[in-house]
Formats: sequence, structure tokens, C-alpha cells
Amino acid sequence: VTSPVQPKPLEVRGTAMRRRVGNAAFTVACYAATVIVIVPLAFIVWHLVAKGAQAYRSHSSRTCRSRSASRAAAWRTRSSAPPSSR
Amino acid sequence: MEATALTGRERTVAAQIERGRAASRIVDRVHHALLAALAFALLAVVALIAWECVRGAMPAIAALGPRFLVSTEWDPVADKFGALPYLYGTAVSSALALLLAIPLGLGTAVYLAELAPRGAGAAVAFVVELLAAIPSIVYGIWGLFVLAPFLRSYVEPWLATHAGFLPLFQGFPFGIGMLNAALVLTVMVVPTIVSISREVLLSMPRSLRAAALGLGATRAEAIAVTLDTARPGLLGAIILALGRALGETMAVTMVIGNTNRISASLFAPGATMASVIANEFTEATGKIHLAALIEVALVLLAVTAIVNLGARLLVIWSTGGRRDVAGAA
Repeated sequence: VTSPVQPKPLEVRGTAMRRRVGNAAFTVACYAATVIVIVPLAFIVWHLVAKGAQAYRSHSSRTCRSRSASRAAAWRTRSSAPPSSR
Repeated sequence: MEATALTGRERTVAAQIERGRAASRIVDRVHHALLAALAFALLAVVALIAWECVRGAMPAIAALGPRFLVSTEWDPVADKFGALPYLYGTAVSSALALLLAIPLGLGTAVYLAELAPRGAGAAVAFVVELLAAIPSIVYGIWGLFVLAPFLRSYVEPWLATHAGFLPLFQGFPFGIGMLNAALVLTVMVVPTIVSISREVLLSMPRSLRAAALGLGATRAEAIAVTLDTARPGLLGAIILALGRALGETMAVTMVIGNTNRISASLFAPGATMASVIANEFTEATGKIHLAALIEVALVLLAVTAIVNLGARLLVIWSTGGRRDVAGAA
């Protein structure tokens, strides 16, 4: 049993070459969009981590230096004080 | 005797069933009432916000009238207020951000859902979704300390040299201004568009694409079929992004320059409705000044409501009112 309705031919827009070029352009555009989106976002994160880590390192080293300096000062004070005050 | 005992047991069981049904009906009603109360509570919250805005803005509405929406003057000392530069700034920054974010976001979503290897797509999507959760102040800091010097030194001079004949790219390259705000907004709204669009595309039946490929369509044509079917959901993603762009406050306040001036140049500083509220609310001591800022908030609320309504109508129009398509209203 065949349908009395004749199937419509598939609507093809443009030649095969044009369709291939369109397909390639679409795929490249999607890849490019992903790169354009990911790179700045990755750059933001990288920048925040790099600057944050730098600040953290400098802060922690400063804190260590000041702690050791205060310990040394306390030790000097203790050692220079007269025996009666120890 | 046996029949009577059975009847008695049956009666007991029937009574138990009836009691159970009555209890279920009560639970159903309570559940229904609770859900209705929650839904109306949301409505009430929105109505109360609008009411408070109207009440707070009443002195400015009475003093300034409709001139408030068309005037460009903002002088708290002389009690003269006009919100047109802020309306303009909000519209331009959001429109520019969407203009850049829509192709990028949809392209990335298509790549992640249709083209990328499964593992890579999931990993990138996870990172993008993580970025959607970054607080806006972080984007503001990045825009102020990294993007602004880059724009000032490289991008804006290049644009002024090569496209300076357009009014959009004329003027001194400050680095801070409408272009910076639009770019920061773009970076902020792209993850929203990508994550929602990707989910919508993944929820589409694979048979659509398979059928198109079976009929001899190229990969791009098959994806176009999927995109056409997913249009309502994709519109929803764009609307959510627009909502975020319209209401974004902190990042924009940090990079837009905060000047109540309308300029065709994207290099020029400007201001948005959200940024002027954030900047001046703590310093507003005059009654009219405070009321004018609340009126700006009211206008922002109205703009957001109108945009959402328009978007809802767009979705209904694009689906023909059907609810059986992805993301339909």
C-alpha cells in the first residue's frame, strides 16, 4: 500500500560546496566562541589567584619576620635584664 | 454467623479506608493551601516592594512629575533631578553586553552540547558554571585594575585610530566608561547564557538531530534544527542574562565612571540606574534627593518588569502558545 501523498523533495539551500563551507564556518565559529569565552574567564581566575598568592606570600613572610623580630627583642630584653627581675 | 463476622470485618476495613481517605483529603487541602500561600507570599513580596518604592518616591513624583524621566539635570543642591542619563546608561550597557554575549554564549553552548567530546564538554561546562557564581565585586576589581588599563593603553586608542570616524569611538580613551562596563557585563552574563542554553540543548531529543542527519543535512544544519526547536529555552536564557545585566550594580559602579552625562561615545564615562543608587544612597540627606533615588529604583523595577513581560510575550509568540516545547512560558 503506498500513500497517495507524494513526498516533497528535501529542500536543499545552496550547492554542496556552499553547504560544506557553511558547515565548516559554523563549527569554527562555535570553537572560536568557546575559546573567546574561556580565555578571559580563565585569565580572570589566573589573575586573581596570582595576585592573591603574591599578596598572601608577602603578608605571611612579613608576619613571620615581625614575629621573629619580636621574639628576638623579647629574648634580648630578658637576657639584658638584671637577675632579680627574671 | 460467619457472614455477619465477615460483614463486620468488612465494615471495619471500609471505615478504616474511609478514615484514610478523609485524612488524605485533609492533607491534600492543607498541602494545596500551603502551596497557594507560598505562591501568594511571593506575589505579596513583589507587591510590597513596589508599594514601598511608590511610597518612598512620592515626594519626588509630586515635586518633579514626568519631567524626572526626560530631564538630564541631576543637582542635589538645587533639588533638580532627572533620570534620563541613567536610563540611557542602563539601556546602552545592557544592550551592548547582550550584543556581545548572545553569539558568544550560544556558540559556546552549542560547542559544549553538540560538538565537544563528552568529558571535555562536562569539564568546561563545570568551570563555566563555577564562574557564574563569582561575586560581582570580583568582576568589578578585575575590570578596574586589569581591563581598564588594557582598554586605555591598547583597545581604545586602536579603535579611535581605525574607527574614529564613528561617533561611538570618538573622545579621549579613559579606560573607564561605557565600553568597560559593557565588557564586564558581557563577561558576567556569558556564563548564565552558556549554562542554561547548554542544559536546554541537552534536553532536546537526539532523534531530531539524527533525523536531520539521516535526511542528508550537514552537522550545522542538524544543529540548526535543534536550535530552532530549543528557541523558547534559549530565549529564556537570554532574558535571564538581560535581567542580570539590567540590575547589575557593584561591578558596573566600579568601572562605568559615574557621570550623569549622555554621550554617543563608548569611551565616555556614564552611569546606570543601579550605579547611581549605589553611589548616592548613603549620602542622600535631602528629602527630595532620597525620594528621587527611590524613584530611580522604581523606574528600574518597572523597566525590569516590562522587559520580562515583553520576553514572555516573545516566548509565547515564538511557540504559538504551546507549552510542550523546551522552556516554554
